[in-house]
Amino acid sequence: MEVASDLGETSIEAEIARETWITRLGFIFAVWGSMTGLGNVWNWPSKVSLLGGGPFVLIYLIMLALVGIPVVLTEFVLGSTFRRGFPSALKRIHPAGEFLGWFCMANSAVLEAFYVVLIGYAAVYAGFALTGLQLGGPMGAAYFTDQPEFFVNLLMSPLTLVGLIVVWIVVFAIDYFGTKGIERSVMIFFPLLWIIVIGMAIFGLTQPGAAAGINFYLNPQPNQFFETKMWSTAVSLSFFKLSAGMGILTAYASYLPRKGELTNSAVTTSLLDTTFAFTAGLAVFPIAATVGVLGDETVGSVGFAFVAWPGGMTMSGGNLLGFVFFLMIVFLGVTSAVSLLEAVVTAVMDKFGWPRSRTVIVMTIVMFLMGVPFTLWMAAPGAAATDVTWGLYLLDIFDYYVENFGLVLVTLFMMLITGWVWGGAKIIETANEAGDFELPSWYVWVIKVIAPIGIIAAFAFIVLSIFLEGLYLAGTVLDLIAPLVWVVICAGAAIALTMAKGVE
Amino acid sequence: MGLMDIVFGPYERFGERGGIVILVVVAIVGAIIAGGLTVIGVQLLAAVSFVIAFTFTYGVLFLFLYLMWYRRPR
Repeated sequence: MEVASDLGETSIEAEIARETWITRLGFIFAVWGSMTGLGNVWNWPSKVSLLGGGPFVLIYLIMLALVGIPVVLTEFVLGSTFRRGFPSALKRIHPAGEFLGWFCMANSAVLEAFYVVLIGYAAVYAGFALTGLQLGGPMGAAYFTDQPEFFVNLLMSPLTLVGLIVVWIVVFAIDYFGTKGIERSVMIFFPLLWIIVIGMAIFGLTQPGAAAGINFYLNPQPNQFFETKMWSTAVSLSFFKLSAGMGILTAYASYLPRKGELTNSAVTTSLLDTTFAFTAGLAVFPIAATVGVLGDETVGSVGFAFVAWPGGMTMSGGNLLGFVFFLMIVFLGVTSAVSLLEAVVTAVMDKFGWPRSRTVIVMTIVMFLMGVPFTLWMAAPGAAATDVTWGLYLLDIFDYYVENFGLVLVTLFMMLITGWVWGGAKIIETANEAGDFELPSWYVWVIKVIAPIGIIAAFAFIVLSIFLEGLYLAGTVLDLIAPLVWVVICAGAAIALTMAKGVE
Repeated sequence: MGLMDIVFGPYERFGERGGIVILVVVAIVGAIIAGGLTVIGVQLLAAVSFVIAFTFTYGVLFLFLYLMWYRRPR
């Protein structure tokens, strides 16, 4: 790609030179690495514990088949067919699709900007857990087990910026080498992460709190089956968790060889993600019960990972356990962050014909600079009690709009464009060309009707919750400015990039 | 694919249905682990819930991984 672009060759020659995954497993591991992120460790398991245990897992898997996997498959087919990033692939279906594609890329860039900040927190925690050093600050000197003092000290120190820089260096170093770099890194991260999570699960199940942890995690709650929240959560999780609406899956599939297998890859990667999250629950809850933080009100949130969990690591060997836990979080985060960067890099390379080296450098700098405001360590006196600093406040508020509106709407419109404008039958036909198994013809209606209805239902519940609970309001003027900034960034970038002259 | 050959090789004799056999094997393994969990104090319903979740995550995953391995280019 790089050579072809530098020489100004035609798109056909550029396509011939397009890099490809070396192995099928490399592609599957990379997609799994993208899907499996920080939420697998505390968010998904906590939803299982709150919404019905094992039977919820079963319902989640049904929703996965009806909503999540059709979305993944559609993105795979888009990338594989057009061998282009998200905006260019959608443009080939309908000219207006390019705007949606670039809106998605801008939304993903904002997501990447604050996501790397969270990974930076985990990296700093891992460092302090390993070294046993104290972090002095407004709350006094504190070890990583002294919570919430340590977390507040971290937020109110430039270390958040240091964490951001460190993680960006790693993400840049992997993505600079393209699919080769990603494939090599996931070949290390994949087995390592499974060893860590299974090891932690075995360790957890041998601890005194194992029974309490498993009872908390998996006890069925039949009353939940009559609650709309359980069903809406199953639907929204089924595509939220699978890197949908970020352009990642399209970008990764665009590097598959011609006639690459798609159907089983979509199913296997989704199941790998779910299985990892299930195992993470077996690891986290027994240990949390053992160290006495299971009933913490923050279970299922970022606060659980950064406050409750390390606060419980005062047991013998707690520092080591804390280090392993945060190392896992860092690895999980890095594989996802690389995929987000790659989605944007692929889109820019395809549009402007830039070489990979230049594109990765430019995009890394842009997204790093976008992330700096999320590390601001100055106190935010007017914000909510949990948003101690301006950085955390901005992170929470942008997270709210990027996830609840950006990802959901992009996924919905992508499904409508591909299913109805391009044709659901083409998706099935392409998937069946080289699939390990054949999708039945009626699956067209799953892609065209059922999956979009599921996404619309998930969005309807988000809107309903706004009416019931209100928007994200912490009490400052930024409550109103932040969503406008988000819309201006995404829509402005989408208009500018759609109108910009590209090489295609 | 060396590890997959070791894991899935014994089920090749069942052809494409090897995945179903693996699913059953995983369910049995899950039931054995769940039995062990009840011994350490896990409630019966939570243990049954564990078998369901274990079978439909690991079992179905291995079913599709087997299919991938079985359909590999030879």
